[in-house]
Amino acid sequence: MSAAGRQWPHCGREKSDKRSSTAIKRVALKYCGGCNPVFDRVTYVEKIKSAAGPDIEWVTLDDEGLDAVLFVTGCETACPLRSIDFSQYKHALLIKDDNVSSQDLVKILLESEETNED
Amino acid sequence: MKIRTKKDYIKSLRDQKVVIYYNGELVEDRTTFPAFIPHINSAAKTYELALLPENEDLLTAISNVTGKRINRFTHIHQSVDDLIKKVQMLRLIAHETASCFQRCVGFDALNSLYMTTYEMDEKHKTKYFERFLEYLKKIQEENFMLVGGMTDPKGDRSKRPSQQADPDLFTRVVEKRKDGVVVRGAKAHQTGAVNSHEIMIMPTQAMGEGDEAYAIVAAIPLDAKGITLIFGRQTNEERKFECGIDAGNCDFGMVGGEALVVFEDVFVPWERVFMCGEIDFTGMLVERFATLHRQNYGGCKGGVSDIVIGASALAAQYQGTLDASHIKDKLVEMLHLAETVYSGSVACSAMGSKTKSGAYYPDPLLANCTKHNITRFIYDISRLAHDIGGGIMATLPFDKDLRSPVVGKYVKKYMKGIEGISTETRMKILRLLENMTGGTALVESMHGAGSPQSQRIMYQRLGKLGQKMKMAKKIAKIDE
Repeated sequence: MSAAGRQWPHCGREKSDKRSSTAIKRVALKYCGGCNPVFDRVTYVEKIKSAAGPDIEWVTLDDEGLDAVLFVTGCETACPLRSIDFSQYKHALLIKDDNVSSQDLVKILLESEETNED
Repeated sequence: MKIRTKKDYIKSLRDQKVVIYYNGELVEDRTTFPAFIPHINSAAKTYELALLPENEDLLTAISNVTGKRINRFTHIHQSVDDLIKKVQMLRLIAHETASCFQRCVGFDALNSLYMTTYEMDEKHKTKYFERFLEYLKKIQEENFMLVGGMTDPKGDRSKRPSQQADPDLFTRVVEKRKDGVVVRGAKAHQTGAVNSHEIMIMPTQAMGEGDEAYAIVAAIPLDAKGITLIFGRQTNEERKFECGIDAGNCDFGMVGGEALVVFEDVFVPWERVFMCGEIDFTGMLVERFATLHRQNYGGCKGGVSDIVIGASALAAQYQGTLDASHIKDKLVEMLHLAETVYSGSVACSAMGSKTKSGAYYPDPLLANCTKHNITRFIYDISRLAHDIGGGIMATLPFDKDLRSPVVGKYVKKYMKGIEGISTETRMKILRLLENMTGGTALVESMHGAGSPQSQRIMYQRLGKLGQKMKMAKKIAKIDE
């Protein structure tokens, strides 16, 4: 199972108000510092952005009205975990490798709210 | 933060007219001089990477003084996490430059002064910390590159500064005025000096009674009247002017670009003076600066070693030996050595502690071990690179021979390795290895941040030998 798949259920997902699944999602992108990554984080994110197309508006953690946060970390250490409280985000996805296809990852980001309604 | 981009950085250097001599000639424009361009490119990475979201966590920090986001090279460490991020950042940048990027010395000067001026004020009721904070704000706001000016020429090492035949062999205050001090002397081996904005001069060693004039800390713009820089000659430096394969790493160079910085009666106003005569704090300042600087080496040299290891593997691949068991074994040994030096830097950071000022400080014993390993392991890594690369690394024809209409065909034919890889590609990687693993680059590993003997002295002080003897006696059931 991919790192992304493993992390998603543990990242503070909670129920939220129902919204249209076709609405554009605001997703904050946050990288680790990238000291010695085991995969090319930037290339991977470019693929994710390309797969998402106009369905996702990419913003930063400083922005408001976030639908989800995507943490892209270069190795198992996942340094942002040392300084960022993940529980403050309703939907936080942490990836530590590029094993999940970009399409699947976008699907997870876009379908997060339907899952929450279960 | 006024300097943000590489363009800003180069413009700021061009706007500041510094007197620099290279090979006996005055350099008119330091930003376009071929021998300095690689060092400028390398230092510029500390600005460029800070603008990328994928590196901002390491290259930037929130200032404890202003609350603003700043370049990490101007930050005061506020936690163990900051100490670790410093090391991670150095490895990251080394992956981009494969060379020294020079800004850590100024970074370490700022941190060592922050904690030492605080304690100086506490004891002597001086106002250095407050003064230093104002200076720090300016550095953070402008995002200046600062030289950490510690090493004096030192003359006769058996004599104290005040006992030297020539009193200027240690940098000193020659006059105290109402509005400031006048400084004379020199700082040697100053990394990044030709492409920096300011220099922070600090005492080179613990000073005793009679050496008060040498207990001087001051921040001086490099264009101040009376400052002259003389660039240090490097191995193969003429290759920089060719901008070709033979330079190995023509974009970023091989070392930081060191210079002798001469102070011929340079005036410094009081607001830029952070120690003047307090000999009792010189030892503390030197030790702290040295520890902070020795902390770095597993980060930057670890990162540079990653490039050497990669280049060694490619050299082997291009000549068809990559799958040989002894080559694999040597590459594994290189990986072990690189990760060992990195471990040291992470360890001394992880064991760091809070000083009275609130700034964090690495474990000094572990930091010294880290640098001491560098004086050995980088040589070992380079030796293995030479072993893997083969003698061809030292005997390759010139780049111009490769391109010669007459002999180029012979170079292409006889310097060829495996099929599918051009001779030029093979030469590029061999030249990279040659330049990274010899000459000035190796000597820098030995003496940068202090020669090995200075680390051994620290072991004697910090190694708790007496405690170890007690433990051994207890185990051996010895009562006497």
